[in-house]
Amino acid sequence: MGSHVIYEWIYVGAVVSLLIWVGAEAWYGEKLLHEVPKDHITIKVTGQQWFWTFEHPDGTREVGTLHLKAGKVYKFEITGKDVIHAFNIPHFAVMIDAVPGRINTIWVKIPEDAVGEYLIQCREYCGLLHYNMRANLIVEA
Amino acid sequence: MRNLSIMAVVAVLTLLSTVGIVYAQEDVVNRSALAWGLFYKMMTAAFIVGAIVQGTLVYIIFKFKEKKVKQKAVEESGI
Amino acid sequence: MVIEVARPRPLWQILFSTHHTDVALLYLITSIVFFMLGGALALTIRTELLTPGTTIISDSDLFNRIFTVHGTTMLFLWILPFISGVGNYLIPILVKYKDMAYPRLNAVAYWMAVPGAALIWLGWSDTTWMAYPPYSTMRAAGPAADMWIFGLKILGLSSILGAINFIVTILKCKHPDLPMMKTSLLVWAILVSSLMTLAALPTFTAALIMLYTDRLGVSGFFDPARGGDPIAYQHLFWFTFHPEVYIFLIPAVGMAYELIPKFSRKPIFSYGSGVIAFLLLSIIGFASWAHHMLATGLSFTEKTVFMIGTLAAVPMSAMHVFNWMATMWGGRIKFAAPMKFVIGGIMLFFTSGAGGVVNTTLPLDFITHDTYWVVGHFHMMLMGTVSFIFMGFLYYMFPLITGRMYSERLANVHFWFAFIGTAVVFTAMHIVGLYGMPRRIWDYVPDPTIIALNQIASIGAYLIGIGMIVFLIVLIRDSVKGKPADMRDPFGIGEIYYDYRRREPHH
Repeated sequence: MGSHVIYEWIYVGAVVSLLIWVGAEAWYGEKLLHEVPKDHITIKVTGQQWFWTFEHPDGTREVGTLHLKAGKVYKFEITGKDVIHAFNIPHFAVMIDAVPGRINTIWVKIPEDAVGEYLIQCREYCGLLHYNMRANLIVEA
Repeated sequence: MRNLSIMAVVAVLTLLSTVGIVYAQEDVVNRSALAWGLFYKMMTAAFIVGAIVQGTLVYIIFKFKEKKVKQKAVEESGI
Repeated sequence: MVIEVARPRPLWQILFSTHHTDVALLYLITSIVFFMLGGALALTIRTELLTPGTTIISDSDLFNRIFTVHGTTMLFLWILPFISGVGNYLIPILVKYKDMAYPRLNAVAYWMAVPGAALIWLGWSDTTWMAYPPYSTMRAAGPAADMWIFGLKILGLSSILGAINFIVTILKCKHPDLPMMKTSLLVWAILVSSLMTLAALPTFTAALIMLYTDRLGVSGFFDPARGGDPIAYQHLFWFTFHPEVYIFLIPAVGMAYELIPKFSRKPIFSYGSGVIAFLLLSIIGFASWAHHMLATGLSFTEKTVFMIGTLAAVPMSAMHVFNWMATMWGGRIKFAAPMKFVIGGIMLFFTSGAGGVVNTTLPLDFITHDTYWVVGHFHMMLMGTVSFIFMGFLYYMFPLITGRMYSERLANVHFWFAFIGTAVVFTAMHIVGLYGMPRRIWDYVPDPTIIALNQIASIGAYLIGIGMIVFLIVLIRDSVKGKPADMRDPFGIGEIYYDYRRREPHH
């Protein structure tokens, strides 16, 4: 049996190389997403039980609805007021926790052709109405 | 055999991803396109490896069933 | 010592016994009872999610409580007691000792689990099984959340006592003629998982105290208004509970090592690599905890480190799978119920493992984190692999416990319902997660695809439910009326069975 153990090591080698590939891909992708592009518009997002408040750079506030322009790059500065929430726009793969006492940032470029209405939801359990903590994202031309 | 195929998969996928990276150098990254692209790539790899592993397992189940290998049962003498 | 149901011993004799087989029996019965109760809660959840809006549960408060108790029950009152039960039955037999090292401590550890379980089930908390502050400290309703904290505290202490007992029994009470490298891999598995328990659990025990004082308002460890940090709790929590995943998994792997060679009628392909994989995993398992927290705003470096830590744990699991398949290769496999469950478990193990690898690739977190994908993923592991192997092992131990044989035909029915149901429900959950359905929600967006996938998942859950009813029938009926088993080799596989003539309780 001893000589057959070599097969196990070959196999482990194959698994490890596969994992290195996975890790490299993931690292590279994350790096691309990590750097915020220079000209962006900052939106302050606050989550609280159980609604979202958005503040535009010019100071206008919106509750439950967010209006964005297609083709622009947005940076969200997200925080929670009472408990932990998670700011999530499934369609644009935007997802980060809204933690009290912290400001988390995430950015997204809204594509030119993305005019329409999208769902914003809370993805971290936050109590009674967690299931209904949604908002509307309206992308305008 | 299996190892060879896994190696081959790795090689092909590395090649594909290098090509992808070269083409991805546009101005601003499309977040969801990147995430989903990565997802599909990972799922392709997972399904290929899965087919090999699960296929081998199913092969073992049918090949080495008790009924199929009765003739060479020398250790039947038991305890 | 066989439990003869037809001529029962008085109940108090079992309840107050400190003999390892009696304590083990109590553990096993407790765990199976809670498995069924937790399963009933799961079916309630699946029924509620059958349609958007109210299906059977009138409000989300009750729903939140149900999934909290479901999660807590399955992890701490099914998986952990079952491991203790099997360990208690077999470790003294496998290391050739008359009992556990500390029989009284053993009984104490079991009896501590009882009030722990009672607190969780009477409190009916809505904190989720992770109890993240500030929700759990500031908003969760008392006394339920307080009872949950105390319940877990007691269960944690009970686990630590049990772990100490296993470690001493294995290392100190092992028969001198039996070298460690000749023991069963199940012994190694229990040893390694007990050591991990000792290293991992105190952190959570500390976190629970902080959580409780925060709830009382005397401290602000996790309250940003008082200089605390809610994320600190998550680090403490996952520092315990990511290794805990391996504490659940490793004994199941050990049980698979116990069964596969026997039912393949071949020695283990490589005993050494099994031991190495256990030991390495027990160390590397501690290096990946924050992959549960990738969305909390970790820095790029932290994310990279924890991704590498996560990926580093994969080769060990892959080594086990290779070892199992190589053991079966060229064997003469008997597909009795235990072997079926193990093979089903291995198939689903690959699925959940691959899902885990996909999950840890960083940018995918934006898609999958806190969605049903995650729910599908860890259920595939805990139900599909761990519980499958446990159920198989229970069938294997059935003659040892009852002296009787279970019905192979019904066990087969159980297996197929459970296997198909598990594959359906958790695959559907993975997919519905990709559509962005968050976990822990009582109501979802009434999108046709999401509704359809939820209904497929519910059907899968009902299939598992049918399988579990069959399981229960087999267990109850055949422990009373089953055919007496041939105790030398109940499965006809030419292997010596465990020594069933353990002497009667010595205390």
